[in-house]
Amino acid sequence: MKRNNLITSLVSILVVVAAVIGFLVAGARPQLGLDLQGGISAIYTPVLDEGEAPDNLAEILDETIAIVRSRVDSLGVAEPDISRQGTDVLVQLPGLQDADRAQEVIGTTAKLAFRPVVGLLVPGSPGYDETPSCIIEDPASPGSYVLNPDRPAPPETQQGVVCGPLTVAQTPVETPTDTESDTPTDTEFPTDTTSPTDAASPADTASPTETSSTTPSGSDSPSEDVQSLGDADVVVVAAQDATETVTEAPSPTDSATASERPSETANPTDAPTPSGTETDPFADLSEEELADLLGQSQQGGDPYAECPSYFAEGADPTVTPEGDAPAVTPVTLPAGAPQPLKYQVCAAPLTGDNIDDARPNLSNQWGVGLDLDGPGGDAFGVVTAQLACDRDAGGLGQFAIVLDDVVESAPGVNDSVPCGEGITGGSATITVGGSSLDEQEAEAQDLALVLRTGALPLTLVPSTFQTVSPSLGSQSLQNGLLAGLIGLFLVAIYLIYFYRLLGLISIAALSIFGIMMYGIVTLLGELGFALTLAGIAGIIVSIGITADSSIIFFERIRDEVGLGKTMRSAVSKSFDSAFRTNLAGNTVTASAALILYFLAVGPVRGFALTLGLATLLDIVILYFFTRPVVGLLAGNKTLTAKSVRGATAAPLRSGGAS
Amino acid sequence: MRTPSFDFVGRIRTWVAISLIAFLISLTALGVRQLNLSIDFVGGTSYTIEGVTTDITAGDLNSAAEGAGGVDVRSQIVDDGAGALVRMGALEPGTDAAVAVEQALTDISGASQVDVSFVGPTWGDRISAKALQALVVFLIVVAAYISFRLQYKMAMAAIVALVHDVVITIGVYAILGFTVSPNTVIALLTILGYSLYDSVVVFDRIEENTAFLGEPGRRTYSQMVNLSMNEVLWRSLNTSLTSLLPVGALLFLGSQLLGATTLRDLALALFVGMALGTYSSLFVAGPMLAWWKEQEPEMQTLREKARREVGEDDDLISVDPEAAVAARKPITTEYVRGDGKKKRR
Repeated sequence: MKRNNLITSLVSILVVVAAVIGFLVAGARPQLGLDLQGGISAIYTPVLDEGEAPDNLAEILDETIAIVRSRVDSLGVAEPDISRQGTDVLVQLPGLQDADRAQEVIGTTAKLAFRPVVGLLVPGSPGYDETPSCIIEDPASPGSYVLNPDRPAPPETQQGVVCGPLTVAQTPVETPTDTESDTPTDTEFPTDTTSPTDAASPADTASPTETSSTTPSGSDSPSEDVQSLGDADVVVVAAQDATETVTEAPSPTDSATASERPSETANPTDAPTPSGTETDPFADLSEEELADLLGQSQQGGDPYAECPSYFAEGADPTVTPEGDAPAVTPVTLPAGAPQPLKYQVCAAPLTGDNIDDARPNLSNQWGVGLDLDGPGGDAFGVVTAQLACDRDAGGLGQFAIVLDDVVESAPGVNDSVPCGEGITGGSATITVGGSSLDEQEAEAQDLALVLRTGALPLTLVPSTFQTVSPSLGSQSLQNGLLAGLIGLFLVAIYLIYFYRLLGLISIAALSIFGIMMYGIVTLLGELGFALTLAGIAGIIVSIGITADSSIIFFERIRDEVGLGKTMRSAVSKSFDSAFRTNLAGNTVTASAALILYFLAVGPVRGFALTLGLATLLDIVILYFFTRPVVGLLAGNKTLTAKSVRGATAAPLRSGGAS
Repeated sequence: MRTPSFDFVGRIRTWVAISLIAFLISLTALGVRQLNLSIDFVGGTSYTIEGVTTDITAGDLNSAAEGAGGVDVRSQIVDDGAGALVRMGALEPGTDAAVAVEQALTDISGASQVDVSFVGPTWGDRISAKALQALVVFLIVVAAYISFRLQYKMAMAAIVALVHDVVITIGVYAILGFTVSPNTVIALLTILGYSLYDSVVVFDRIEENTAFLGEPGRRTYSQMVNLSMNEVLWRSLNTSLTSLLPVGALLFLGSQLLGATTLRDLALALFVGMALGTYSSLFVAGPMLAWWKEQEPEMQTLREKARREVGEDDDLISVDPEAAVAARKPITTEYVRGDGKKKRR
């Protein structure tokens, strides 16, 4: 044990300790678990309404989690944490107390429906404001907007209004004059129907024939954050709609030719055309036609009149909703808040239950291959037949894919599909938009996932659910810390009583242990680990372990001194043997902690983690602190054989002296 | 400190008797009283009521909850009347019954806060399965580790000690009626770690001393084991104490707190388990190993040889630390035995 060696070790650990103290003084704090902070924590297990679990359950769960996350946004929780643990969903909502609301939000199944679109409502138009708002201000961060939990949600058997996606929202203009000076006029929808040609048709940026005043290409990606829209001022509307079309999937009996679809071939007349400008529903409309379309609701014509035609003979689920809508507190939004389009849709001729499968596929461009079951295929045929006629007559010809009362996508029917015939056979391909193949692929996968999620309605059922009030939480924290301090204090007294000077060294080691442990926990907080009460218990238990290491060392020194060795050699030899034993013991405890960590669930994992870390820390401290200090003190004769031997209230060793 | 000379191995019958009695009491308690399992294992809903302002009894809470739709209700007033714990059959949050019960409890207690904890029926099976899994894995790891590092027979002795600890700890829970929650299970598994470590400490020393089997103070295996255990006795007690002190603090505070069931469940198991762990390493594992090894033919031969050299049976077990120490001292002016070539430490 060379002296320099010892000093280096000692200095290095003291430097680390100083750094930690620095961080703590600068305000770093560990992240607290919900049992110390207060909030709601729950574990949800997916329950399938029917059938067995598909092999891509994990993916669907992730999609469901995304849905839940957007719903939870409206609860105003500062840092919600929703994650998947195996096939369970772990939900942590700090600061929230309303258990019933939380359960309502999370436990409701997200339904998927295909609903023919009969009209569009633009923000600012009169019809728009009559129905509940699609967005509310985010309670957790004012200035940004989240989905309104009380947004219009017509049941599947009723027609009504649904909200378009948040990512494609636009700033409503209140007055006829284009006074939103930042906004290029080309991209606004008219507030009235007066100047439709100025409006950007809802073409995406990929279609070159459109006015190029639409937003830079990055903005039509669905992942656009709605917060940034406030700054952008310029938005693209319904980018997907223009480029998404539905075509009939080619029948497999056709002969193989140089067709785009890898496994099947296309009957030339049925071949899907790459989407492009010709499929843009708005491009060919004249001013009046567009005005017609947009002004329908304003002129008082019943946009839903054609709804029955979307249903097969004899089926009639449409029920007129007006007057029955429950009173909803109107949401006031600041002027200029970007709002999504609203779609006027019929009742749903088919729903997620009718989907057998949905897979992304690539032909000329990416799309989603959709397989429907028997009744679904029939209904789809009827719907697309009518939509094709609608399209030919200059209407929208689109149907909306609505998940959780938000329009995920609203493809139109491809031109190749004739009016009156529709897409029969139960298979179809939905081509997606996007300016590059990669973008298209991503969109196709997203859409496919949406469809598959809708096809498999999961209900999230709470397995465990817990609320902790902030007062209880802080009380638990205080008492946990108090227990730790008392424990430390008791151990300190004990050590000094039995080991005197060595005891002091031991206490110093314990203090360093405490500081570094706190530092580690705070650091882990940055990585997402939350300190729970169980975690604190783990730290307290490991106080004993750390004190123990010192004791092993000192007892060994005493043994060696008793055998007649000099202090220096006693220390050196004792350390080797004590370190080995310490290592063995700590390995055992650490392995226990490791096993516990992987087999435990939830907050108790924290116990295993802190225990394991503490054992590692203990080894470090023994090597880098206790050894140098004892070695140095032995070296300069502060620590003598006598003080070691005499440091006890028990009778003196009789061995050497007798 | 002088090495004590407590006769662990010689009085093995006494220890066996004590352990067996404790074991039997535990098993009986488990059978008769059943463990009080927390809602995490059996499902249920529990309410933690803070800031009670009215003067109510547990019975009042029970009737209020039952009136609102709760089943199987058990209440407890804690914290000198300032808080209460109510436990009942599972009520999924958000359902009418759950809302009604919570409202009823709030009304009757005038409480400032009611925290709810719900566990569904299937959850308990899952964590029970996991807990058992953990236990089995741990025992296998323990056996492998000790067998690898020391000896197979030591591993078996250690496991016997472990089982002894776990059963009696659970027995204590059954007798006292404390709630067994997943935290308790975690604590039990931690104790296994501790008990194992304790046993390793003792066995480590035994292994060290095995090199000197046959010399004074270690003439037979039993005597050697006895001596080893006495050598580590002080140290074992010390480390137990330093471990028990902080856990004791946890236990004490945990039972006082309103919401700190986590602490209390953990701490009791830890406290009892650690104490037992030390006891079992010394009074169960050690003597058992000694007895088992003595059956081996080599040990019998050794015993014969020692008897010829020393004479009476008893002296072959009782600890003679002075002779042992004398044999180990590096600097002596006389040879204890005539084997000049044998290395001295």
